[in-house]
Amino acid sequence: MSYTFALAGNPNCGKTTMFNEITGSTQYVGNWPGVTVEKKEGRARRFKEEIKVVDLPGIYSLSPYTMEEIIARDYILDEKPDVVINIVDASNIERNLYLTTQLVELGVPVVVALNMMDVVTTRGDQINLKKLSELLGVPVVPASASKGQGIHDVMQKALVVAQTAATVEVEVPKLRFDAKMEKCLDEVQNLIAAYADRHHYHKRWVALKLLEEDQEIKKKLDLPANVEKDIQNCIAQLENEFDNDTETIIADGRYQYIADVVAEAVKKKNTGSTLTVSDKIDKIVTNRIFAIPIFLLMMWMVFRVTFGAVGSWTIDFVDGLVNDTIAGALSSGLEAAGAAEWLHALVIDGIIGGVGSILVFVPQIMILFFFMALLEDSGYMARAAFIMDRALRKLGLTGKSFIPMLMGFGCSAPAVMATRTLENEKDRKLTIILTPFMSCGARMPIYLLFGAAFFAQNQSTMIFSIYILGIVVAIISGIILKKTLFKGEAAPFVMELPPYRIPTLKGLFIHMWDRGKAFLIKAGTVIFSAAVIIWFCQTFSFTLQMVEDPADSILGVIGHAIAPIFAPLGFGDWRSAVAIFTGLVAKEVVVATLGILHGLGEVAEDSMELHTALQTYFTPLKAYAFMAFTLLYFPCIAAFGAMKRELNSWKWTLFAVGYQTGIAWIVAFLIYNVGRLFGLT
Amino acid sequence: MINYILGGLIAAFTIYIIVRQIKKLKAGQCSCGHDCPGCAGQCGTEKKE
Repeated sequence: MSYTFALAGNPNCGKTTMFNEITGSTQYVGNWPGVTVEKKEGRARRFKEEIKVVDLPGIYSLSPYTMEEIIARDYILDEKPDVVINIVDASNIERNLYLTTQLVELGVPVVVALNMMDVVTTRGDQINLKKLSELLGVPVVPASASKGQGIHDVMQKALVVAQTAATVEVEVPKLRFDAKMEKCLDEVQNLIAAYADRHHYHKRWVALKLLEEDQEIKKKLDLPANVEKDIQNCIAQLENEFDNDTETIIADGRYQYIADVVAEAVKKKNTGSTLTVSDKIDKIVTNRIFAIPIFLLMMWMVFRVTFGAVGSWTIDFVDGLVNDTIAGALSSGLEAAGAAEWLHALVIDGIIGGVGSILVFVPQIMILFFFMALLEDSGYMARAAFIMDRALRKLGLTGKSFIPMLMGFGCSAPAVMATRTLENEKDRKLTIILTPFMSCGARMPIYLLFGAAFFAQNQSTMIFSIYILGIVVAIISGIILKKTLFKGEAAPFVMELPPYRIPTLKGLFIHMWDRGKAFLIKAGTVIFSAAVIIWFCQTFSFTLQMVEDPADSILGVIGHAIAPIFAPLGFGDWRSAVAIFTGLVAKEVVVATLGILHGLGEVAEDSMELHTALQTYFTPLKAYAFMAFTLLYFPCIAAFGAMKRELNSWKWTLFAVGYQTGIAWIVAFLIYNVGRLFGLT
Repeated sequence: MINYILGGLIAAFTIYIIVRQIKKLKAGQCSCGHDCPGCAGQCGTEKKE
């Protein structure tokens, strides 16, 4: 028989870590809330049973305030998993139990996995598991998902509950409200019993939701007018007696119950200080004056290490391997096998020149992702969102936009998707338009190539400045668009700051490898195909004749046609124009194109040859304007697809990419022309 | 002979990748298996079931 277990819990309580431990997956885990936007599914085979495990998005309650709450609630109500494993952060038990009380009210089989017990033990606090289980009326199992402890016990208990729940009625929740509220609850339960049964919902939970005036549930039940009127009378009566709205009365009742449970089952060690280590660190890193300078300093240090000695050494190593050893061996092999000239050129100039020019940067990209993962896993990135929220709110933007933007430093496509967490439609559209301004990993090879060719002495600072430029352009664009097209108040942003944690080396290497591997896969598939097509287009004319000079090729004709657009920006050469054109597919292709056009695989013993070739038609100022343009213009086909899907409108999608490309042109124009006014070259 | 074999293989692989990418974009599905189109796993996640 197969079972379905759903994992539910507050944001950042370790659900995805638990999911990965159970299923053996490597789903992305971040030490910040909101990583899981959609539900994820995995399979596990435990105790000779087939188990489907569903990781639901992090939620604080089952009230339909946010997209995540609606997704999670609808899944539990409609899909009816055999067991809901409620992951509770034991180090923050009071807040986490609020969701637990609601899950228990649903009348579905629940097992509480008391996660992060290692933190509780380190703090010296004690939790009486037996007592907690008795008071909640559900089994409680201790665990520490990040250390892989307790997972077996959680699964075993969940399986027992799943098997028992199939034959035994689920126990009535222990939570009892004030007598007047209970009386009203009974009345409403009687009124809606038939309608709740029709949907297989638990009567008491439905009654509570109706008293809370939950519109989603009202809509689903489709109650007749007379029943609705009776419920409204109950609500009016309660609000009159308690002098408060029913939603608050019910929430108060839950919190009172939780306070009683915690008082009985949890014993906290008296440390004498109310500040935790995280609080003490936050006093410095989120300080009003020092927060942003500290954030900038941290990022600059990351870039300094990545693009400094360590990064250069890795580039030299891979460069030698790809452009010397591999290209040399392939070239000799092809010659020995009697390959035609065109095939030799296709493999060496096209594939090695294109794919190889990307591969040399993979180690540096992995180093950067290692440090990014370090900042994320430690909990610092969540602080970055908090710091930016404070700055953004002053400008009328919501800090919640910053989370998709942070994801945008990895890849724009999922970052655009992550905007689903924004409830306000205007903020959402605005964030979708701004997110691609964050410099994604695919743009990195462009900066690395131009940084090494033109800014060898201060490469890390120049690349860092490009990242900052993206953030600044996003903020300025945000202010302009907020004052024109997207007028309105910024939605409030509530974000829980997770405690600082020492990241595990394993976790950091998994993050680094996942992203590095993705680059390698992309290089072997999309970039490979693009390289073949680009080589074809730079070798043949429109009449499919081989050309001597690439300027007469298909690419050459296209390049010459569009080059005048970029002339005012300083890079009016047809080769740079073609690189921008092919970069529409994916940003790495910009570098691959330049590698092919300059015959990297053929003429270059290492990428220094490419640097020299670029120096014939770029100056440092032109190179910087080019880097800025590639940062800001049309993101790539994949991000375009994500934007179309999320905006659900051709008009808005075309406006977004048009706006981005327009801004890119203006910024590059300003950099080049203002730079020239100041005598820069 | 090698010209036909290797050239054919490269052409076939290129066409296969292009068709696969177009299908994924149309389906709104990413190369990493997620519902987002085309990040090829750069989101740092991998879908394994």
